[in-house]
Amino acid sequence: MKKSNLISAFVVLFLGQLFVYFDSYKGLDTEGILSGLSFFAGGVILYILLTFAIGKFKKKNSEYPLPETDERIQQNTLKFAAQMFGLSHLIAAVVAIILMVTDRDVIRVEYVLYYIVAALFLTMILGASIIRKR
Amino acid sequence: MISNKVKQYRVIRDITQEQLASSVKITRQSLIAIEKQKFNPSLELALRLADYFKCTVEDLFHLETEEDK
Repeated sequence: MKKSNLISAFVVLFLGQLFVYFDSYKGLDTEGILSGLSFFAGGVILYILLTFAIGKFKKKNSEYPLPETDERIQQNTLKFAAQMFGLSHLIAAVVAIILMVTDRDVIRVEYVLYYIVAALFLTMILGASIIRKR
Repeated sequence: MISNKVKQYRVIRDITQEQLASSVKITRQSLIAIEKQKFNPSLELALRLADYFKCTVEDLFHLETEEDK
Protein backbone atom coordinates (compact mmCIF):
# COMPACT_ATOMS: atom_id res chain seq x y z
CA MET A 1 0.00 0.00 0.00
CA LYS A 2 1.31 3.46 -0.93
CA LYS A 3 1.95 6.11 1.72
CA SER A 4 -0.73 8.39 0.20
CA ASN A 5 -3.31 5.56 0.29
CA LEU A 6 -2.48 4.90 3.93
CA ILE A 7 -2.96 8.59 4.77
CA SER A 8 -6.32 8.61 2.90
CA ALA A 9 -7.43 5.52 4.82
CA PHE A 10 -6.62 7.19 8.14
CA VAL A 11 -8.43 10.38 7.07
CA VAL A 12 -11.50 8.25 6.20
CA LEU A 13 -11.14 6.55 9.60
CA PHE A 14 -11.00 9.89 11.42
CA LEU A 15 -13.91 11.46 9.49
CA GLY A 16 -15.96 8.28 9.84
CA GLN A 17 -15.37 8.20 13.59
CA LEU A 18 -16.55 11.81 13.83
CA PHE A 19 -19.65 11.00 11.75
CA VAL A 20 -20.49 7.89 13.81
CA TYR A 21 -19.96 9.85 17.04
CA PHE A 22 -22.22 12.77 16.12
CA ASP A 23 -24.78 10.55 14.37
CA SER A 24 -25.24 8.31 17.42
CA TYR A 25 -24.82 11.07 20.02
CA LYS A 26 -28.53 11.77 20.51
CA GLY A 27 -30.03 8.29 20.54
CA LEU A 28 -27.44 6.06 22.25
CA ASP A 29 -25.70 5.78 25.60
CA THR A 30 -21.90 5.84 25.99
CA GLU A 31 -21.61 2.07 25.53
CA GLY A 32 -23.60 2.17 22.29
CA ILE A 33 -21.49 5.02 20.93
CA LEU A 34 -18.26 3.21 21.84
CA SER A 35 -19.38 -0.04 20.19
CA GLY A 36 -20.36 1.88 17.05
CA LEU A 37 -16.98 3.63 16.96
CA SER A 38 -15.02 0.42 17.54
CA PHE A 39 -17.08 -1.44 14.89
CA PHE A 40 -16.32 1.25 12.30
CA ALA A 41 -12.64 1.47 13.29
CA GLY A 42 -12.35 -2.35 13.11
CA GLY A 43 -13.83 -2.34 9.59
CA VAL A 44 -11.44 0.34 8.31
CA ILE A 45 -8.37 -1.30 9.94
CA LEU A 46 -9.37 -4.67 8.43
CA TYR A 47 -9.65 -2.99 5.01
CA ILE A 48 -6.16 -1.43 5.42
CA LEU A 49 -4.65 -4.77 6.45
CA LEU A 50 -6.33 -6.64 3.56
CA THR A 51 -5.14 -4.06 1.01
CA PHE A 52 -1.63 -4.24 2.46
CA ALA A 53 -1.61 -8.07 2.28
CA ILE A 54 -2.95 -8.13 -1.30
CA GLY A 55 -0.32 -5.53 -2.32
CA LYS A 56 2.50 -7.65 -0.87
CA PHE A 57 1.18 -10.80 -2.57
CA LYS A 58 0.90 -9.06 -5.95
CA LYS A 59 4.44 -7.64 -5.80
CA LYS A 60 5.99 -11.04 -5.18
CA ASN A 61 4.39 -12.56 -8.28
CA SER A 62 5.40 -9.97 -10.87
CA GLU A 63 8.72 -10.54 -12.63
CA TYR A 64 8.28 -7.40 -14.72
CA PRO A 65 6.79 -4.58 -12.64
CA LEU A 66 3.78 -3.11 -14.43
CA PRO A 67 2.17 0.20 -13.47
CA GLU A 68 -1.33 0.14 -11.96
CA THR A 69 -2.50 2.98 -14.15
CA ASP A 70 -1.55 4.62 -17.44
CA GLU A 71 -2.93 7.14 -19.94
CA ARG A 72 -5.54 4.75 -21.36
CA ILE A 73 -6.91 3.88 -17.91
CA GLN A 74 -6.97 7.57 -16.93
CA GLN A 75 -8.87 8.41 -20.12
CA ASN A 76 -11.35 5.57 -19.59
CA THR A 77 -11.82 6.44 -15.90
CA LEU A 78 -12.62 10.06 -16.75
CA LYS A 79 -15.01 8.93 -19.50
CA PHE A 80 -16.71 6.49 -17.11
CA ALA A 81 -16.97 9.17 -14.38
CA ALA A 82 -18.53 11.64 -16.83
CA GLN A 83 -21.05 9.02 -18.02
CA MET A 84 -21.93 7.98 -14.45
CA PHE A 85 -22.38 11.57 -13.27
CA GLY A 86 -24.53 12.31 -16.31
CA LEU A 87 -26.63 9.20 -15.70
CA SER A 88 -27.04 9.89 -11.98
CA HIS A 89 -28.13 13.48 -12.71
CA LEU A 90 -30.61 12.19 -15.29
CA ILE A 91 -32.07 9.68 -12.80
CA ALA A 92 -32.26 12.39 -10.11
CA ALA A 93 -34.01 14.74 -12.55
CA VAL A 94 -36.56 12.07 -13.54
CA VAL A 95 -37.26 11.21 -9.86
CA ALA A 96 -37.58 14.94 -9.01
CA ILE A 97 -40.05 15.47 -11.88
CA ILE A 98 -42.11 12.43 -10.81
CA LEU A 99 -42.17 13.69 -7.21
CA MET A 100 -43.16 17.17 -8.35
CA VAL A 101 -45.93 15.89 -10.64
CA THR A 102 -47.33 13.62 -7.91
CA ASP A 103 -47.41 16.57 -5.45
CA ARG A 104 -44.76 15.14 -3.12
CA ASP A 105 -42.71 18.28 -2.92
CA VAL A 106 -40.95 17.41 0.35
CA ILE A 107 -38.55 14.47 0.81
CA ARG A 108 -36.08 13.68 3.58
CA VAL A 109 -32.57 15.05 3.18
CA GLU A 110 -31.26 11.60 4.22
CA TYR A 111 -32.48 10.05 0.95
CA VAL A 112 -30.71 12.73 -1.11
CA LEU A 113 -27.52 12.24 0.94
CA TYR A 114 -27.60 8.44 0.48
CA TYR A 115 -28.11 8.87 -3.26
CA ILE A 116 -25.20 11.31 -3.59
CA VAL A 117 -22.87 9.14 -1.49
CA ALA A 118 -23.84 6.02 -3.49
CA ALA A 119 -23.27 7.81 -6.82
CA LEU A 120 -19.90 9.17 -5.64
CA PHE A 121 -18.82 5.77 -4.26
CA LEU A 122 -19.80 3.95 -7.46
CA THR A 123 -18.06 6.49 -9.67
CA MET A 124 -14.91 7.29 -7.73
CA ILE A 125 -14.04 3.97 -6.07
CA LEU A 126 -15.80 1.07 -7.80
CA GLY A 127 -15.58 2.72 -11.25
CA ALA A 128 -11.80 3.10 -11.06
CA SER A 129 -11.33 -0.53 -10.02
CA ILE A 130 -13.69 -1.78 -12.76
CA ILE A 131 -11.83 0.23 -15.42
CA ARG A 132 -8.44 -1.09 -14.21
CA LYS A 133 -9.61 -4.70 -14.67
CA ARG A 134 -10.84 -4.16 -18.25
CA MET B 1 -7.57 6.11 -38.72
CA ILE B 2 -4.10 5.30 -37.37
CA SER B 3 -2.68 1.81 -37.80
CA ASN B 4 0.43 0.52 -36.07
CA LYS B 5 3.02 -2.23 -36.37
CA VAL B 6 3.76 -2.60 -32.66
CA LYS B 7 2.84 -6.29 -32.65
CA GLN B 8 5.04 -7.07 -35.67
CA TYR B 9 8.01 -5.25 -34.12
CA ARG B 10 7.48 -7.03 -30.81
CA VAL B 11 7.11 -10.50 -32.33
CA ILE B 12 10.19 -10.08 -34.57
CA ARG B 13 12.27 -9.17 -31.50
CA ASP B 14 10.76 -12.07 -29.52
CA ILE B 15 9.59 -9.86 -26.66
CA THR B 16 6.60 -10.71 -24.47
CA GLN B 17 3.76 -8.25 -23.96
CA GLU B 18 4.63 -8.06 -20.27
CA GLN B 19 8.25 -7.15 -21.00
CA LEU B 20 7.33 -4.43 -23.47
CA ALA B 21 4.55 -3.02 -21.27
CA SER B 22 6.91 -2.90 -18.30
CA SER B 23 9.64 -1.17 -20.35
CA VAL B 24 7.39 1.61 -21.66
CA LYS B 25 5.50 1.85 -18.34
CA ILE B 26 1.98 0.93 -19.44
CA THR B 27 -0.38 -1.85 -18.40
CA ARG B 28 -0.58 -5.10 -20.36
CA GLN B 29 -4.23 -4.38 -21.19
CA SER B 30 -3.23 -1.07 -22.79
CA LEU B 31 -0.57 -2.77 -24.90
CA ILE B 32 -3.15 -5.34 -26.05
CA ALA B 33 -5.52 -2.48 -26.98
CA ILE B 34 -2.73 -0.74 -28.95
CA GLU B 35 -1.77 -3.94 -30.78
CA LYS B 36 -5.41 -4.60 -31.69
CA GLN B 37 -5.63 -1.03 -33.07
CA LYS B 38 -8.33 -0.19 -30.52
CA PHE B 39 -6.41 2.57 -28.77
CA ASN B 40 -4.22 5.34 -30.18
CA PRO B 41 -1.40 6.13 -27.76
CA SER B 42 -0.36 9.68 -26.91
CA LEU B 43 2.61 11.26 -28.70
CA GLU B 44 4.72 10.68 -25.58
CA LEU B 45 3.96 6.95 -25.52
CA ALA B 46 4.45 6.66 -29.29
CA LEU B 47 7.90 8.23 -28.89
CA ARG B 48 8.70 5.88 -25.99
CA LEU B 49 7.71 2.87 -28.13
CA ALA B 50 9.79 4.14 -31.07
CA ASP B 51 12.73 4.71 -28.73
CA TYR B 52 12.37 1.18 -27.34
CA PHE B 53 12.37 -0.39 -30.83
CA LYS B 54 15.10 2.03 -32.05
CA CYS B 55 13.00 3.18 -35.00
CA THR B 56 11.04 6.28 -35.96
CA VAL B 57 7.42 6.94 -34.99
CA GLU B 58 6.52 6.81 -38.70
CA ASP B 59 7.89 3.25 -38.88
CA LEU B 60 5.55 2.20 -36.08
CA PHE B 61 2.48 4.31 -36.79
CA HIS B 62 0.82 5.06 -40.09
CA LEU B 63 -2.08 7.36 -40.90
CA GLU B 64 -4.49 5.45 -43.13
CA THR B 65 -5.91 7.55 -45.95
CA GLU B 66 -8.77 6.86 -48.35
CA GLU B 67 -6.22 5.72 -50.96
CA ASP B 68 -4.88 3.03 -48.58
CA LYS B 69 -8.36 1.52 -48.29
